[in-house]
Amino acid sequence: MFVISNNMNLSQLIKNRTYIVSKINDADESLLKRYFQLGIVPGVEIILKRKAPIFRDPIVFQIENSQVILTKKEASLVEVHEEM
Amino acid sequence: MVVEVALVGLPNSGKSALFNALTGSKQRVANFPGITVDRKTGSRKTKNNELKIVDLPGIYTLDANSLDERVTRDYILNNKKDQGTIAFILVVDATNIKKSLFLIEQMREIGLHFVVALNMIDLSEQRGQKIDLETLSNHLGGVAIIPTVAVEDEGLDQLDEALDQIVTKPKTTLNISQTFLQDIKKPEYVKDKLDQVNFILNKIIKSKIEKDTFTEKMDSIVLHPVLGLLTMMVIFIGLFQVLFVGADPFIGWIEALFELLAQGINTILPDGYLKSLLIDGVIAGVGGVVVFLPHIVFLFIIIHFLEDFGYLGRAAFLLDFIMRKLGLPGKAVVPLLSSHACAIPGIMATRIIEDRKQRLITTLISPLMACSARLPVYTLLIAAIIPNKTVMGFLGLPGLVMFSLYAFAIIVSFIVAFISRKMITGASASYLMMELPPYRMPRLINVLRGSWQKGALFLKKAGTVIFTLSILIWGLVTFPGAPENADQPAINYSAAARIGKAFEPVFKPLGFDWKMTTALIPSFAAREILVSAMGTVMAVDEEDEDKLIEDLSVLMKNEYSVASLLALLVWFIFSPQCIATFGVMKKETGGYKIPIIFGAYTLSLAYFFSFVTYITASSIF
Repeated sequence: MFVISNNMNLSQLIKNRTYIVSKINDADESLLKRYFQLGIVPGVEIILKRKAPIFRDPIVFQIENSQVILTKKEASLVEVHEEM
Repeated sequence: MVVEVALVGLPNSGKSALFNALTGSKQRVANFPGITVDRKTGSRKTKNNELKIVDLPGIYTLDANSLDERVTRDYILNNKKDQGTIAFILVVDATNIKKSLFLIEQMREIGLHFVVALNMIDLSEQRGQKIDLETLSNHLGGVAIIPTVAVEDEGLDQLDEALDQIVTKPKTTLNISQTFLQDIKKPEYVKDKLDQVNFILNKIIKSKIEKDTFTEKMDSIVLHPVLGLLTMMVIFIGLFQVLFVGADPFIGWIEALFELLAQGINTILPDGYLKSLLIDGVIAGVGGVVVFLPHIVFLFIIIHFLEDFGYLGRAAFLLDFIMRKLGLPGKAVVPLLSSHACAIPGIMATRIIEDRKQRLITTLISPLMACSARLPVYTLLIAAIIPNKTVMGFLGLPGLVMFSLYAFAIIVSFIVAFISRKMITGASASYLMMELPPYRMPRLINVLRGSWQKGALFLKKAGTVIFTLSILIWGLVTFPGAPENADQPAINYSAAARIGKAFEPVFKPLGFDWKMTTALIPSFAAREILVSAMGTVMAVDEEDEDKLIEDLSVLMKNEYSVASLLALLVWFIFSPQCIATFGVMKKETGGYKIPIIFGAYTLSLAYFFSFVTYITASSIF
């Protein structure tokens, strides 16, 4: 099954399902670097674990072996697709 | 010869734990030159060498973002041949090798000598991961890889041996080409290195690591929408209790000790300026510094525990929604909350905030919180102004006023945070994005040692400023002495009283008379001194504090208008009546600029709000 939805970003994921990072949009250099340092690079598997109790923002993600928190805005810059 | 060895590694790799294990109690804490990032050094003897070990701030790549990371990057890149560090210990979290491999590759590329400490190897094994160390070493050009468990002192002997071998190697010139620093930012470079990392990983991981079930279970409670917020409340109430109640007996003992000293001197020396200098100047000054120790040490025991355990990041996650509007990270709640007990440990706690600008804003607003030294002043003035009535059937009016003083301070501090965010130049970290480390049980000795170091650093750095200013204030209230036939309290003849009188016109719009302004001067040593200083200028002779407040409140009520007293109350919400705050701010920000800005803005706020209060109240009452 090939379900590649181009409009999907990290803030829209279904909880506990595995996705793959496609690309990072509109981030300046230092922000891009930060994504990279936390392991958010194209090709990596990512899972939405939970959202904050109030305003559902920020969001906890599982990337490989570590947990990372992103604000909704930071998450929305990261495009993902579902596993094929 | 002493050989310098530096520890590098990713944040949360257990670098500090390894530093503690290697150096034990042989540590020194100072600042890196010109900036306020802790520089920890320690010494260790191996079989052949005397090592000086430097603990560098955590770093992900040689391409640094924050101030802390730049310290590490510059330390590594400016490390010239024939000087400085001979070798590095690269601390790698064995449960998350992939991330560190990138840094290892970069360090290798520029030709640094290093050994790898594969830390937390026990957790990695418990979770079923098998790593082929020999293959890993081969892929990294034969670098020594030592499995360690820093919190159990495991692997230290092997590390010593590896270091003894490596430090004998001749130091090579670092291979940092002009283009290297630009190259490491390019996507192609990153992709290339990542491919390399993945290639190595596939070769060395013989059995994949299992989930960290403990962290998963803890998080299902700690980050739970209801249970998580409850847990956080319990933790913060506990923190508050420890600061307010737990530190109290220690503060009492310190005060009793200095009291005893003062009494001793009182009986030995004849009355005179020397006696006054020793008792009211030196002992009161030193006592006024030491008295902060219980708060500082207690707060940092809790902070270090929560940080090492992995909780602070979780609190940042849960509290982000309140603090983000102010441009502050969720973690800023810890210093702000602590400042309700005392701003001194609160300002020191701003160190948990990584970003410089956010740290400065928190430092500037922390002293606005209603600290415990304001309580006696509030109690006195409320007793003098507010009738002890009940409103709406059950709420005591004095309690209600007290509560609104706390709330008002918080509201204004939020406004100040909002404004200073616009005014302080330099970009603040625009992102929250951070890693949530797995939970780990901290080692108690590390927590205690770290907290004691914070206390000692405070005594050394802030203590001198506070002490000097205390002596200055003593001089102002003591000289010149009262004339022979004095019919007023001695302070009324002093320089402080002259200043008070000179400034009377300035404070007249606030409804303060010269007695009040005179009493404000010694109160700069500490807010609560206002009570005894008012007692002195108004010639109330009463030792017992509760009784003093009672008598004085009646006296003040008769002498001053409600408007004047309200204005004085409002003055104490904002005014920087605490020299220790200046001392600790100077220490934490590394200069006089921030303390001066702080003094100017809080005095302006105090003057403005007191003025508005006086005018408004005068027209009503």
